Amino acid sequence: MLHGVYFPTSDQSGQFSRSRSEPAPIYTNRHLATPLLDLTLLLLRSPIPSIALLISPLSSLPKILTAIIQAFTIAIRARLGVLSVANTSVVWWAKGLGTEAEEEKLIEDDLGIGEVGGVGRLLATCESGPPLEVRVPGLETVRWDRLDDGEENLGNRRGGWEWFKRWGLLRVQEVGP
Amino acid sequence: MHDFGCTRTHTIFLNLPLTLSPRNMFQLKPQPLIHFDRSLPSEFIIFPRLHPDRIMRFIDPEPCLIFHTANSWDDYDRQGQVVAINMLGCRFKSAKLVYSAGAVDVPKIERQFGADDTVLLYYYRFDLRTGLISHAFPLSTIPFEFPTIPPAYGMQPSRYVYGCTMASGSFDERLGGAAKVDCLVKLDVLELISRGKRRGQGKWDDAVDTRSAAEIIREGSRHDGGVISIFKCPDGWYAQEPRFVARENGRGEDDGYLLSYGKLA
Repeated sequence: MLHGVYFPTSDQSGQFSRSRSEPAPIYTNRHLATPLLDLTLLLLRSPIPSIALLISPLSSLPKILTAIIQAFTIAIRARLGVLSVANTSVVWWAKGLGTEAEEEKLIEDDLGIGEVGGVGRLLATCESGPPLEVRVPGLETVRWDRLDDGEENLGNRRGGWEWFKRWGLLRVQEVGP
Repeated sequence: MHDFGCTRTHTIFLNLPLTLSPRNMFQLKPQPLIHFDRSLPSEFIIFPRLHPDRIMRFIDPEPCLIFHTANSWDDYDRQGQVVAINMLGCRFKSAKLVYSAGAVDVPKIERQFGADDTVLLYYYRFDLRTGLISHAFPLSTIPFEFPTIPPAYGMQPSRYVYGCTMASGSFDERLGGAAKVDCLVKLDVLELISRGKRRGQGKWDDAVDTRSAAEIIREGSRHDGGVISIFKCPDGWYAQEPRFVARENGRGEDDGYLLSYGKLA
């Protein structure tokens, strides 16, 4: 789930403005539409093994195996070979930001590279999969975003894993802090 | 690996002994799938970014857990070559937290090592010329987690690191139990690191600043400034991981706001 607080600027205040000059911030939250969410709504419990199951010496082997098999079915369903949720930071992906924006612009003008891709988008990132694009300010899920800039994307990037490693247990994750 | 460190030129991977492997279950003495193996050391794998073939391994014999790194930066010599890597992370000496998080009984050995264990902001300096950890010590005795720095000041020797602490209690309490963050903290890490380095090289168990969170709060109310400043939430309020938001056209590294969700209990 993503939580967000939207700070409207004074000219967008509309009905939310109070007597102060700044309008009140608006809170919203929304689940991200991932295959994991679909399976959770089907099973009505978490389909991924919890830390408690994997760390407790009292857990039985059949329970652990069932949990791992269920986690793999999500990976198969997702056809990505990974279990992707948004459990790390959100990133604002755009051009012209940050301390090195001017340098970048000079290099790109030199090489004649034009604007590629959208103006700016919010990406919810995950340790075990590609980023998920989310619309602002409503936080609706848009699509998986493999950062395709024409030649290189996350699918064929330098250092990509072999197919058997991508399906290994290393990518089974607890949806953690 | 929950987190890793990045400097301008190098990447630091934390190879810590919290193992996750089905092989654990099929050992001669079976262990759970997730197992904190005390026979393994804490290893820091450092390599120049984009050159993973040139790795250097730095070993600290004491096993530990680091979930979040605060900042990492390079040390240069006069010729502009990188000679050492500095890293700040929130370090646990025992795996008590992982068991508490799962509401599973903490095994005896982790309870033993975790008896006086608090998560501390820890400083490491990896000397690339010798291949050894030249300095390793905690900066303060206060429990410290969820570090954040202004994004524009990452990968450089930034002066201030912000994070969460508590007036009393620790982060190892069962989640949903007593681990309630009621303070936000700002540390002048460069000052604390230089004080710590003055003690000498090597590994130190004692923190540079030995005041408790409660003591710092008491002193802070009398005079401003100091290497550690703690903001205690009003009674009944709790905070969580903050983010630093720089002021528009701000002057200085700490000109800005800490943004966090607050909760009234």
